[in-house]
Amino acid sequence: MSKATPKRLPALAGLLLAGLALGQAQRSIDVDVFDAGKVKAIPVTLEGFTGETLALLKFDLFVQGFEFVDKAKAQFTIKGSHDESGVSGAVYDHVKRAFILNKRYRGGGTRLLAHTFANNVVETITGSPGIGLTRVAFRQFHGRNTEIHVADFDGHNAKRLTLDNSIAAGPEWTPNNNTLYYYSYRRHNPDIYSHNLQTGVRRTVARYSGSNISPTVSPDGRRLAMVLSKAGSPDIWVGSANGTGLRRLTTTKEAESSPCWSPDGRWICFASRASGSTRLYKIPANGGAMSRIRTIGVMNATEPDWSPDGKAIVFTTMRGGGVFEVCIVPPGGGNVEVLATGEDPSWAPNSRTLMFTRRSGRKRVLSVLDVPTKRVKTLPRSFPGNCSQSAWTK
Amino acid sequence: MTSLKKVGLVLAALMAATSTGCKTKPKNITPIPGGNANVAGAGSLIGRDNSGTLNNGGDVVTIDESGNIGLSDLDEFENMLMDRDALAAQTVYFELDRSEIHPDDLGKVEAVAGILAQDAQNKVLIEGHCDERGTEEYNRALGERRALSVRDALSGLGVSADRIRTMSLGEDRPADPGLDEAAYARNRRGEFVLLKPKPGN
Repeated sequence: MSKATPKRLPALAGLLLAGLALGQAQRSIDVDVFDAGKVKAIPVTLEGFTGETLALLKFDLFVQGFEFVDKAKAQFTIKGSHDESGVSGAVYDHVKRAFILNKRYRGGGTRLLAHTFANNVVETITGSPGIGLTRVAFRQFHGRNTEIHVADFDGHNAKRLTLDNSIAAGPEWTPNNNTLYYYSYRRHNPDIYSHNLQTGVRRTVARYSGSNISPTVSPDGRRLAMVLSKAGSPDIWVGSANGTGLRRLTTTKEAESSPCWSPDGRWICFASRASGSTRLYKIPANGGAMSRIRTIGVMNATEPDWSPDGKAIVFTTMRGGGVFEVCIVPPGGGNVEVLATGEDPSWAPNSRTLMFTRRSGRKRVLSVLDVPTKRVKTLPRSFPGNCSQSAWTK
Repeated sequence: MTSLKKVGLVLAALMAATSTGCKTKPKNITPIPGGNANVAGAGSLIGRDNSGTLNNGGDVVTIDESGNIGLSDLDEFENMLMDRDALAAQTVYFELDRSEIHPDDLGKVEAVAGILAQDAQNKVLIEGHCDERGTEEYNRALGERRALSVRDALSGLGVSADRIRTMSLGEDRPADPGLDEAAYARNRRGEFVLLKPKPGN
């Protein structure tokens, strides 16, 4: 009894951190997402970790700009171990010839401890916050139907949120990450819902004739942009987070789609066919004229997502023949860089990593892209059904 | 219900005017002062209040400066039986990435208008579908645009707008699961579902 109890107790608490960071965090390494593919990955070597912890660390670090090399070529050695008492981890800087991180992690499950260590490694070496503890919502196919699922950002600990037995799609998080907005055909019409993950309470936000789709919450959490067709054409509308006080922003005859917010909450970026082909536009969130965001070099731009730091917009270009490419453009418009084959990119809170969908025949899988190094990894956890429309927590 | 019919008549007249190529703003509609204060572009709307919101009361149908006809409240279509077979032969097909009705398909839309004219109690659901060569949310909006295009044509043939409901299914309900050109062509479609009052209602 006295031997077994102490091992179980820490699971109740949060994290118990032991040890000290021995070195100071380096200054933030300034990485430009518009240098995609030109930024070199940080060479590291991993020692001592095995099995699940090793695989987790490699994924977390890969998608945040690290590569794994022989010790002789490594700039940092990341070493440690995990046993029943928790995870121990350290970072040795081969240039400084010193340990710059040395910690022990206890309480919670192994994955939680290892993700936390990965975050500390990223923060210590790059000065930027890690994304190891973030989550994603996405759409998973169950035969003809699709449901909303939520998982850790690497696909583990996945849980099904909806059981509507219809089409549920388009999930987006509120800024406090406790509520998802999405739309579902559960009442035989695509209607917008808010779904509090803590209380389980789901509310109808928009249910009008026609499409009520593509909800996206403003950065302050108080407003909602969406596509409604109740005025006779799919338009961008804005209202309060509960769906009241609706205002129609676009009045074109053509279809608008996929609204997203600028991080300062002043603009809504979306795709429209207003000029004959599908292009990106922005419109003041309080109403006004829509203006084009030029995407030089590509036609048929859809699914924009504005980076949390405000510096870039990623989107999907439809090349024709069902070929999609994830692209990046400055918010003011300009030259476009193609990042990867795929669609529907969603920014991680670090404004560096993207999750997107890759199609192959009937198959749709979620993948992660580190923009500066332009490297792609499929989610390590695979799902029985197709997945798409990932949305990263804020 | 009488006000609904009245609006329907006005709409039918308007559609007759617009479908003959008249692109100007309907003359028999009075702009509401201040009604466009918060809205991009200028134009007149019926049923818009001073805050720029549209009346969704169910008995007001709106038209904006682009010629978009507002949709009736969903409640108008509650508790109706769905007959998917009655109009199955009238499914219309679209060109790649387009939402205009093909001239060859106008006869089908006329047939639907004729069937609806036989019983004023019946209504219609138009489902808009896409092939999978667009992104998911783009296709959802394109499917709605297609359904609305069919709706506008029906309305132009005299079917009251408040008898028509639209629903986009994007690329989620292909008629043909194939991944070739022929399958894609069969999937870019608008389907008609006849809505009948439940007996006893």
